[in-house]
Amino acid sequence: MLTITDLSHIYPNGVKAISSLSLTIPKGMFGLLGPNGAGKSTLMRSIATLQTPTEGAIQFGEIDVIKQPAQLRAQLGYLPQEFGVYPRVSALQLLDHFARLKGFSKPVERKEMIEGLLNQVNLWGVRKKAVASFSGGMRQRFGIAQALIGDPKVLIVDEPTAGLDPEERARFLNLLASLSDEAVIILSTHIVEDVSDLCPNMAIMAGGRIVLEGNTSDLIAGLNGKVWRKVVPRAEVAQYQSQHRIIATRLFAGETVLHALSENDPGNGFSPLQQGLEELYMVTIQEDRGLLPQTS
Amino acid sequence: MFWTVARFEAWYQLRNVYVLAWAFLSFAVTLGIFVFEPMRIDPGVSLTMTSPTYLLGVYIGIAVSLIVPMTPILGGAVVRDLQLGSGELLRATLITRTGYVFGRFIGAFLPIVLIFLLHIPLIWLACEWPGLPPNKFPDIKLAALLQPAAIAASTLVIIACILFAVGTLARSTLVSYIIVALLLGAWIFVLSKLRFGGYEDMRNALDWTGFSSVFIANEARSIFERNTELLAISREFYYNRAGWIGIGASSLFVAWFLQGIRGGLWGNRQVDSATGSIAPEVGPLKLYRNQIDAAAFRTQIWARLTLDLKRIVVSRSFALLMLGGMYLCWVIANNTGSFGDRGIEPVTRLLVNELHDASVFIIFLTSSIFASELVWGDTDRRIHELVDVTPTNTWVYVAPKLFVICAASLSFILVGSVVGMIAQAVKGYPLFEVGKIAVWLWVPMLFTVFQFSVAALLCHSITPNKVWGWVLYLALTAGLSTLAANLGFDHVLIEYGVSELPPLSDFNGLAHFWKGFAWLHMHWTLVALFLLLCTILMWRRGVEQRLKPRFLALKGNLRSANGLALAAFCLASLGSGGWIFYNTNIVNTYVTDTGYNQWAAEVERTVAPLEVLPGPTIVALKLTVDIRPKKVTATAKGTVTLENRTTRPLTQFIFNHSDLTLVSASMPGAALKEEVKNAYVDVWTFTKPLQPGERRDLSFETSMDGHSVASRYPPTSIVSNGTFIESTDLVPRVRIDREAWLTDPEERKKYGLPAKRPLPAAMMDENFYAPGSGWIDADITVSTDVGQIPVAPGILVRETIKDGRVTRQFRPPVKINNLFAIQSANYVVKRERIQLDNGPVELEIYHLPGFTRNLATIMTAMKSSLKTFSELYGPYPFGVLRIVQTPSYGAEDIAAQAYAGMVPFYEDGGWLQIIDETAYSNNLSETVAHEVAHMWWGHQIVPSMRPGAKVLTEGLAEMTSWLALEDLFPAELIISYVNEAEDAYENKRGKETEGEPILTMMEGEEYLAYGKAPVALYILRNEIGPEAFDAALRSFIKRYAFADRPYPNLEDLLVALKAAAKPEVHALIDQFFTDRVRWRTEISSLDATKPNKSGSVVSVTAGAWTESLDELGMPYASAGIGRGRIQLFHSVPCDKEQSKSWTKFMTAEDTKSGIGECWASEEVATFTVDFKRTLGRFQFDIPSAKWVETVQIGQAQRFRISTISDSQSRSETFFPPHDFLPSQKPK
Repeated sequence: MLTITDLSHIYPNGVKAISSLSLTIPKGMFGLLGPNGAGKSTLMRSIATLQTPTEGAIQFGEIDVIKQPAQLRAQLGYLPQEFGVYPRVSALQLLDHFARLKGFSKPVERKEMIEGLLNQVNLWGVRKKAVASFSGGMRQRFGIAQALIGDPKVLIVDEPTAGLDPEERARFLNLLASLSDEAVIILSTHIVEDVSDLCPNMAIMAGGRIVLEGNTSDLIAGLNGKVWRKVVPRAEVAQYQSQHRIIATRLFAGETVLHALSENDPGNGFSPLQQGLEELYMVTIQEDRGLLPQTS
Repeated sequence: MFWTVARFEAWYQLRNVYVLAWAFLSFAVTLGIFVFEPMRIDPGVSLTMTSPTYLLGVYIGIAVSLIVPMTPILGGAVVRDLQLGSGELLRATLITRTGYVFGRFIGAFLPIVLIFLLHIPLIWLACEWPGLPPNKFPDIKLAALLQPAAIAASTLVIIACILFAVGTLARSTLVSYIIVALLLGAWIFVLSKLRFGGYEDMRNALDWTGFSSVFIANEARSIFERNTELLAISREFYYNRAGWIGIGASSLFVAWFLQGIRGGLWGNRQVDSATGSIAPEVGPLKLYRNQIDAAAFRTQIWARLTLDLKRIVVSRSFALLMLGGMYLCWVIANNTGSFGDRGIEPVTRLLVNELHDASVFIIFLTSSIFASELVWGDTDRRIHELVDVTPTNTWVYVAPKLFVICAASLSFILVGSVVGMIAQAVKGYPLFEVGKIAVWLWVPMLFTVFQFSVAALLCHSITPNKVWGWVLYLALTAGLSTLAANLGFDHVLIEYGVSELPPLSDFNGLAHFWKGFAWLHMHWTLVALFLLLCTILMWRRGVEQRLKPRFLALKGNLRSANGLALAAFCLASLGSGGWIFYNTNIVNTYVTDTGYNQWAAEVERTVAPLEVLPGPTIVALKLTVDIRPKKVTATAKGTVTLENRTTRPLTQFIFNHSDLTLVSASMPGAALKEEVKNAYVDVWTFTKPLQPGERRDLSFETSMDGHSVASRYPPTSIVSNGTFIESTDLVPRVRIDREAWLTDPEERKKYGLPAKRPLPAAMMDENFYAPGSGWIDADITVSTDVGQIPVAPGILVRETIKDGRVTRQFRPPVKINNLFAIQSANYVVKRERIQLDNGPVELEIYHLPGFTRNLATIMTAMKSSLKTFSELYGPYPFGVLRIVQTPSYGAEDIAAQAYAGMVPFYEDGGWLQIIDETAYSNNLSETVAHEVAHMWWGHQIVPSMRPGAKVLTEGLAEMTSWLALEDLFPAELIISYVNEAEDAYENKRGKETEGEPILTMMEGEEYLAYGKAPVALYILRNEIGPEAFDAALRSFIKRYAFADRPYPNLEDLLVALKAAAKPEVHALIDQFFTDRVRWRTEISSLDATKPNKSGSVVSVTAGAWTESLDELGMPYASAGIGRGRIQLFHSVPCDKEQSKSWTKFMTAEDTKSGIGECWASEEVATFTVDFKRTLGRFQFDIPSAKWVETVQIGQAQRFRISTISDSQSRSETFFPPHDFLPSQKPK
């Protein structure tokens, strides 16, 4: 279990990226959602020992992550949102390099693991190509492979499926799911389906704070019977927005579809909508921003 | 399209904050140099700051400094499109490759040009600034402002082209900076190392600024000419510019070409072939758990080491630096075999010294560049987050980087050494003395490399970016010590690292000096280890930029193994530093540069009043010196006999022991009265006054210790083999001397001293070499270890060997100066004897075994000199003449010195010189002759301390040495020495900032003593007549040899010369000695009609006049030389005899280059004309059908002043050349 207590981080330029954040992350997949600038990356870098938070504590089991970063690193897998590679180094060589850095001194063991990982992320065919020449998706798959070296007990992945095609995305999600029993896996993403599909627990961050946290199914169930939909002419959207708590305006088959939040049937032709995580995310963020008007 | 691209690029670059900041800085500094007194770079007393000469230096400085912003701007003008990916967008437009490349170049270069051009009005404004001293800032002329700007602008264009091409080729700003560093390094090398030794042509060609050609063309000009006339531009300058502009233009073409090939913007695109393949069947993933143990640590270290090694070794910067380093080592190794303009054997000791200088430069460059690359490499590639979350100990990052940086630096040194040895072999020294290089260079450099590599790593690891890392590194390694020195705190414990080598000699190798350096190395290596631990404990991981958390991490880790090691190294370095401080500052007195100057100023103020104190004269010396080579010590016991040569009783005297370590001193009837604090000068009183003519003995005991702890410049007098002690280090004196006083006018002003302190009348008539001493009766006994031979002036009267000690007693047969040397080494002696008219003279050459190359040459020159001088000027009085090989410690530029009957000859200048058997003469014989001449001029005749004294010593010794060489070499070729001396004078006088004194007022100006004076005396010898002149000198010696006060002075010599000269020569004597007169001759044109049967008509425009100059070189009067001649010649091939005679003196190189072709000038006609003050046009009818190709003009039979050939005018200045002067010896 990973426990974060009163974590704050202020950058030298005065930006307060995280503010008194407390969070408990159990074993298994944990989804972290939030808009750009919410502080997700700062939080994950802090957990990954890449920066020292200004205040607060991070505990993983018996390990004080801030005071004993080396002990966490021995059990850590990390995939940042963006990363570069060494020029003219093949996927096989680079993965081998990371395996060595992670302490794998036995060549046979290292070889078997690296080849397995290359297979898992479907890079076997290009294992001898320079990683620098990979496309975005291929590079992302390489990043996933290196994060998995060493069977990490804490796996932090930031936007892992960005740039992956649907097939590779599915492959990756399956891979993550297979690891989730023994490890704390933090999945930060903007793709809410990834969280809803994989993560039994989740949190939504905004403004450096956790604004919603809990069991994913329970949180979604909380909106049961409260989300409504209606197809409206585009010209009338503003009118509906003033009359209802509109949480989303969508286009579907060329028509404008409004999603509204209401305890009861808002009438006016709205029909019930099977709510999902996306609606929960929109409601949470808009409520946090104070953008959701109260109905009269 | 070209202009569109250029306009955009110029607009883009002009908005670049970096460019604007640099422009602002450059403007501010330039303005400050002119108007802000503390920033002013004063060109000297006489050169004005509006002169083209000074302005050229300023413009070149501006152009070179603009390289800094030009490097990223021009280097990145094209590359940024490749890096940012905007190239594809550009290629999709109508822009052509030519328009793009040249447009980008012009556009990027325009802001730089604009910045440079704006300096011109800025400098004009600065020169017109109100309140500036008018003598420094006379009215500036537009041409003077523009001409040097144009010269510097050409440099700017050249370097811009090269930088643009380099940036396009390398696609790396770092590589561009390395190229710039190499260019600047090569430039500094060219300017500093190729100044002498016949490398002028190479210097002209290689200097990409063109400055050297201009410098050489203006070198001999007077200050007046430099202030008032535009810079003289030689053909070499135009050749240089044409060549380098060609290189620049070619570079641009290369840049254009590179854009069209694969990888360039207009080349074929590289297709990404790394596509995914169909995924194989994927089974369950089997992941292993890692185990962080010792094996893992080794694996991690190896992984990082191989990666970092590859990163550096296969990088373009490494290859470039290696090539540059090899080139540098090749050039300097080639330069090793020279001593001034002499070719000497490139022994390993000299090679090591040269390689060491290059190594220090390379270490600084490589450690700085590679540390930044290795520390910031992962961050630059954005892979640092992946790497830094791995479970690696910080050692895994730091140790491999440190190893790679050290290995890279050492590989440069090793490869440079190999290159150096190959160069040695090529130059005829194929011994490949790897052992010597290893011990002398590699071992100390190993520590130096470690110290500097650690510093570079630390600086880059604690700073937020590369630039700050470089700044901090520069500050730590150079800035700190410079700042400390400026603040008066310079100390071996402040100057980071050890970048000096112990003094080397073929006598001893490293001698005992390595011990002091070992202390320094140990201390700075301990400091480096401490810094290494700091680096590890504060290593940046991830994205952390703040220092505070890293300091906290360091603090938190103090109880770890690393922390304990940190504490241990801290204590150890404090301990070693404390030991060094104890030795340098407590046991000894540590004198900083500033402290020394303060002390010297204080001493001068304190003791100057004592100069007027009358004192006794030393008339005899009995000295016993005990040299202990193994212990590196010496002790001396002795007595000096003092005599009152005044007319009044003396009640006190000065006891000066400022250069020696006094153990005790006593004198019956005298006692210490007053110690002049810190000046090492005491005032003693005679309890019973010393009566006129009375003599008393003063006994003393002194000591010397050659040991030093941690001194970068240890004392070198006493060594295990090759001890050289001057008498002033052992024997106290009885007058104030000015050795320690400050001489630099600025320093004197800074410490409140008068610009010059005139010598008081009481000192004027003292012995020039040894004030307070007369000619002394000397009895010197020297003992040393068996195996060595002690040497001192005088006849050897006794030699004993007892208890492992050899003792020799020397007694000169005549009185000598109280200035001599004592030496001891494992010598072998070559002895011969020469029978002169007044008896035999023993000739002894003391040299190290194996140094026999030039013994015959030296011996021959000794004989010839003794024979010539004894015939011309009187008997040689010392009975024995010894030439003694001496280590070159601290005397690398000196060939030899002369004492009575003894000439210490430094190892570089004499023993290694390669005598070219085909050459017509050699400098070694000239040096021997010069030093032997001092046995008359200096050790028989010693002048008083009045101005002009050195004419009687160095001037006469130099001039008469040329006469001695006439026996050895063809007489007509001796003139080359005269011309060398004249050239040296002409070159140096142009740099005189204090104003050139006339010879009768000369004090320490060596260019007058060794240049003007001997040439003037040589000309006068011919004017007066050799026999009359030599007779005059013979009489002069007869009258003044070994004569005590009054010692002769220059006035006495002139009286003697005038007595021997006809009245019409007196004016010439005065012109040379009491005036500054320059002969100016010029032939500006030669026109001849085509010869036919009736002959031809020849027109010559020529002039010959003299100019009288003031001390600043400004002419204040001129006069035509009157009746002179114009001789017309045509050229004919040499006949057989002429060719034979000519080629006798030609070297193989001369023959190869065509110089060996022999043409003779055949005189067609001679006309007598009247030369006025200005150029005149003369027309002659020639009744001959010969082409007139050459003209010479001159005065009567005296001077050939100037020639013209192929219509190329040539002018001569100051002295009439002497090619036609008869060079005769009396029969």
